[in-house]
Amino acid sequence: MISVAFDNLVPSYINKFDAYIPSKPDPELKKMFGCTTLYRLNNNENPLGPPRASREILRGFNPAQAAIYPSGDSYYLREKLAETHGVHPDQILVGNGANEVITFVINAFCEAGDNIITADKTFAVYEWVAIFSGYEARLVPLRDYAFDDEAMLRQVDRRSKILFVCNPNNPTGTYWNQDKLVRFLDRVDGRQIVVVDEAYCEFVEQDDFPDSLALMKRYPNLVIFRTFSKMYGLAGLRIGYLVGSMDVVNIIRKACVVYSVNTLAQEAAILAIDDREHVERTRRLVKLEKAYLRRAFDRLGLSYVINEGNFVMLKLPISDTLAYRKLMTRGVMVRTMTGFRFPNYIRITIAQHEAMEAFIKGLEHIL
Amino acid sequence: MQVQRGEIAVELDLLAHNLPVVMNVVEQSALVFGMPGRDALALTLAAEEVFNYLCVQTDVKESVRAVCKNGIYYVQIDFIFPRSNLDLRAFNLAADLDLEDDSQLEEMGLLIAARSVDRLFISDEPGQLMILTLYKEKSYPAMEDQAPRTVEERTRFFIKPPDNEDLKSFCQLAAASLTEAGELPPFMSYPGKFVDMIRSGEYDAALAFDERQAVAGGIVWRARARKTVEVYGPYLLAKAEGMPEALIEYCLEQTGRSEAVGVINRSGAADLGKQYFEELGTVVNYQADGMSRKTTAYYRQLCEDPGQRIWTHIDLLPYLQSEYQRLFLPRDLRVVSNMGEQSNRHSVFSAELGSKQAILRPLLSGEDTAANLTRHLQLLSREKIMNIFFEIDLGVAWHAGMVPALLERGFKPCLILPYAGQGDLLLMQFRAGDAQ
Repeated sequence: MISVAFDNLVPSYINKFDAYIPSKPDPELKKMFGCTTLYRLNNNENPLGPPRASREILRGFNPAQAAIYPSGDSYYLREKLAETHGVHPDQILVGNGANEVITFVINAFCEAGDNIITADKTFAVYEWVAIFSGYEARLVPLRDYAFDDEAMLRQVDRRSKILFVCNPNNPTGTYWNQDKLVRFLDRVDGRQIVVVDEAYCEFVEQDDFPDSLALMKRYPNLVIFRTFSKMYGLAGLRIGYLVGSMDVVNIIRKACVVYSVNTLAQEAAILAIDDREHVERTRRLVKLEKAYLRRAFDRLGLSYVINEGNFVMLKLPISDTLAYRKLMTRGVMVRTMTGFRFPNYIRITIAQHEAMEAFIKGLEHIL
Repeated sequence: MQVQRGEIAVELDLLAHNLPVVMNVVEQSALVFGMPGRDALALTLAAEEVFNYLCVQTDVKESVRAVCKNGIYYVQIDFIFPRSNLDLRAFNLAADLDLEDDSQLEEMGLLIAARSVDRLFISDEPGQLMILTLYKEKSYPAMEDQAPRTVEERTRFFIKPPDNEDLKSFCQLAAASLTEAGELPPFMSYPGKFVDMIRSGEYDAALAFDERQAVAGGIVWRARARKTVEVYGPYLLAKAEGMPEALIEYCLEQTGRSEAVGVINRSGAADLGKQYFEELGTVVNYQADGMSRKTTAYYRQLCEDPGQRIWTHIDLLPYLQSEYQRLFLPRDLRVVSNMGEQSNRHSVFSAELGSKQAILRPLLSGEDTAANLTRHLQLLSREKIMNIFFEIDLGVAWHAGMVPALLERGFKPCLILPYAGQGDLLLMQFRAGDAQ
């Protein structure tokens, strides 16, 4: 065997980066933890699954189509999204999940020596993509569980290219309202790209949540991320998109990988968009079960963070990772929050009542 | 704060006339890396003996790559060469070489090398080049004795990464405040070394400061293995509500998104923040006066347990099953058995020696494992070392093969350290009365 000096080939920022290891598949987890059923409350998936029309598409998929490349730029989906959002189709880029569009934006605007700014306790992928692409990720502590606008602005220097705001924030569910986002965009004054990740916007119940699509007209440096993985129950197909001004999207398109979104995902997404009943049903479930959890947590004397989104965060009097292992033996999978820099917190995805009851029973048992 | 570590490498044929080159490279590298002259000479002597031995024992057509690495507080030499059937038994602390026997004289060099350095490691993986690693730490002045001080109450504190002077001050204040034996890790008795350990990037620390900017507490951590972080503290030099929890949370936030799967805390200070840790088990440390002191080891996983395969001998299976069940750690236990396959003639153990305890670790398997264990036990008993541990890596199949010999000679499993090696580490403690 020849010897390869990998160290000479690998950039130092890759050497320093630690790979993310995802969870094993459910059957392996069940075998490992000795449970027969598994309630997945860890990934903020929609327990109701995809909207009805999307299901029909999935069921009726013609296997012969698998041999044909998909539309390379999700042509019809972009047309449908454009019609829905009142923008031009070329203002939209579709990716293999929102994770891919994060990569598009960072690659489009950053070069060696640049930095991005986001929060320390938020969705980790902004930070990860920046670091393994060789850019600095400046992490600003949350303030009262929310993105701290002033502290973020203080971190800006001439090499800052993108400010990422997760709105509502995963995992705390806090959000910036219209006034706060506008104030922030005014302060940025077009000097940086502002990305507002609205992966959970369809779950928000508050009237003052920003109409970011409308703000794009005033702020051409604003880029909005949306996903079909959460409300629309298509996480397994990996599909998300970004919307921005024509100028900003034309730049991002240069760093965009085409043909990365499969045919099934594109077609299922087109039919998901119009299903208002699915959205309403999901919202009702989330509202009802959040109230159930709130009562249960109060009864158990546990402190919690319940805001917008289809998830809640709970502070435990024991290690969150130990609680994960104990709950797994009872068939309940939650998300530990140490990796989100919230030691001893767990995040629970809102699911059907049966799953919520199993979780509370499990929690009572392990505490 | 991290500084450039750097390395200097040379590749040579394994021929005796290349010896001065190796010696020069090692000595000059050590000096360039800031090692004091006496330490550099000791390391050079070890390198000389190892190179000599390789020249005599291996095919002259082979070459060796010697890599000198600046670890800031230590210098490391890696000898990298094609796998061969070298007999490295002289690396054993208890090597029983016969000085009258000319055929064993060549191995004396290895014995000298082993005793000239602080640690050595052998990597001998099938399909890979063999790596023989020597570590020598730099000498640092020890801290002067500190007059005991009272731990005072503080109303406010804040936490931040420390600078060099803060770290030295932390060592001094900790030594004055925490006077019970074994409360502080030995490296904190050498403030200069402690600073260099942090500068090397291998260790990290966070300190709490009171309103007057004085050090009020601290926590230290280091990557013990690829997947484990060892945590020392929190050490409290002032009483302030919420300070231990804040220090622990700071450490967990820093390590939470790293490659590490878990943190281990054996400093005895983790009970200050019990809600963050799980109890792994307790180790009893025996003292010369007949008294004993229990140290509880704590663990905390940083991410969701990915599970792993564990190798065990059948004699250890009930213990491991029961412990893994107690700890809620999902493990796929695989039993190894000897089916007559050939082994090396001689085993090699590394020995980490303290004044009161010794930890033996297997470096190479061999037919003489049982006899080698006996020799080590005899030597350590003569040195009046009361606490003798053997650490096996449950992720390495051949380590499990040593279990019968260990049990036979009185070692008992006492502690599992999850993910602390290639797999979990099992610590076995020797109790003379338990020998079978």
